[in-house]
Amino acid sequence: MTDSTKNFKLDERLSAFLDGEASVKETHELLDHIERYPHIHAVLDQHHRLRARLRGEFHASLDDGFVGRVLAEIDAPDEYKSSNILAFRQAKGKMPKLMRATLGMAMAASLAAVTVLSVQALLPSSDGAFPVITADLSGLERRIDSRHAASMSAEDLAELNHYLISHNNSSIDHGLNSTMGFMRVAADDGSDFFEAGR
Amino acid sequence: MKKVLLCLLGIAASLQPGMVQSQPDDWLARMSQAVRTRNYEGVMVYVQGGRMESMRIIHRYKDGREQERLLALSGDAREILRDNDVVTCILPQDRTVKVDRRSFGGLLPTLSRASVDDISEYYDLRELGTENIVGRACRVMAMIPRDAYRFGYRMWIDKETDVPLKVELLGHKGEALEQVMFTQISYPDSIDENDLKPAVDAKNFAWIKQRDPVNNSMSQVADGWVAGKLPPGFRMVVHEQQLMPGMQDPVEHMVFTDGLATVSAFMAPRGAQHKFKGVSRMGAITAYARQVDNFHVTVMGEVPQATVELLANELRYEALAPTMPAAAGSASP
Repeated sequence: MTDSTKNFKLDERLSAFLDGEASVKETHELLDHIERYPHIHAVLDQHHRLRARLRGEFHASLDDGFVGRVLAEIDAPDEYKSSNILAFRQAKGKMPKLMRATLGMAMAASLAAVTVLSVQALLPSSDGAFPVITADLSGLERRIDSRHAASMSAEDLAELNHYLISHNNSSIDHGLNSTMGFMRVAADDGSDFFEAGR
Repeated sequence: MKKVLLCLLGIAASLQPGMVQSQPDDWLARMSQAVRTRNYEGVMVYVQGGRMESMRIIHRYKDGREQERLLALSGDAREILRDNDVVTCILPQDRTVKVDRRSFGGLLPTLSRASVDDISEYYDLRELGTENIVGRACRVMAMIPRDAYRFGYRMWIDKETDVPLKVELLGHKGEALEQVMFTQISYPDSIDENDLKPAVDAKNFAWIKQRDPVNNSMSQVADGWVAGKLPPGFRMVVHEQQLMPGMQDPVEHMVFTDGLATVSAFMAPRGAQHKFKGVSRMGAITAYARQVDNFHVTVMGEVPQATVELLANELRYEALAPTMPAAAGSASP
């Protein structure tokens, strides 16, 4: 349906629109395009959500994030506790340009979007460490390969988060998890994400 | 097998007091009816780990029309309005309004009577007794998984109105992985029209409307990726291609459900640049990723690790596959 050039330009156009840098004509063209092509609507949903998370950077508290992670660790079932926690290093300071460009286009909530807790857990912590909690692999006593995880790039993280957004979108329409999915979407304030982006 | 027993024992241990067998289809059907046809308003909180978020909810049913308004009480200001199947999200920070037409049933869970029959094959549905939530007597219900491929649920259902006032997603030891709970609830006879209107004047915002009523995806696909054995009770309900932000090629997306839990599988046509492999756990969500030929396969959902791992290992690419994965057989627990 789309070649890579068109897709790239779409991202650029969405980015300009969400950054308030699109002209009136460009805005009308884009809105018309979104209205005609529903799949672009879904892409915009994800941009909206992640943008909200980026905005939270300015009111996120480092201490809150730390306490939250500690509480999550305490509350985690035994098999997920510290022996299985790998702290994955992220580059400090600004996010990589590609990830920033991808996430920077995003904005806020929609029912067709996201999972808060997943993004929260997938992003690097404020000190640059990214805690990933691993679990047994069906009793085979295997663990996630730390070499793989440690080298997980910002692009991989962004991609994983987009999958989670899409998954929550699907969860809302099916099963008892609709309530949880709905609340994750509706309650998302983006604060954890922004702590991660610092 | 040992794991399954431990799982059942763990949950049973946390649910022992007052355990009484009940007619699950009755209470699930009454609950599903009540969340649609009752007027209610209150405050709900969502709790996961050390995180808590709150929302105000107003729900009205009048003359066959169902309306709902959700107002975020924490984080960015935002409102979600639902009028039957039309959902409007108002995002004041972005000066944007999104209007979707969706098939979902609203904030509180609804299950059809047909799906209850399917569910009872894979979950043991039990009544556990009575407890008070926000000062109201509730019937406590549990859905205990019969195998290790799904998590359990516990619900507190208002005895007088049949509205669920608390829902928990439970891990294998009976611990709450996620909770949604009313901290305040009332059931007014009538709700004023003005209470369902947004607090924000959004007429100068950018309005984004979805023309297609149901399909947000690029296309429905019937071949390509197929699943071999599925975890017992799971069936495929979505098979589509999606565009993802920042990704040049479309990703194939499948959704599987057992009627309560959902699992997504994503197949991206990428090479070895993907580093994420293996298992990661995020609250109630478990993700598992692996490389299959030139594709990166990621499976995730509010299910145990065994489920995502089984699905990921059973997905394969068959360019000319004539059948849908939903028809595939189930794995043994």
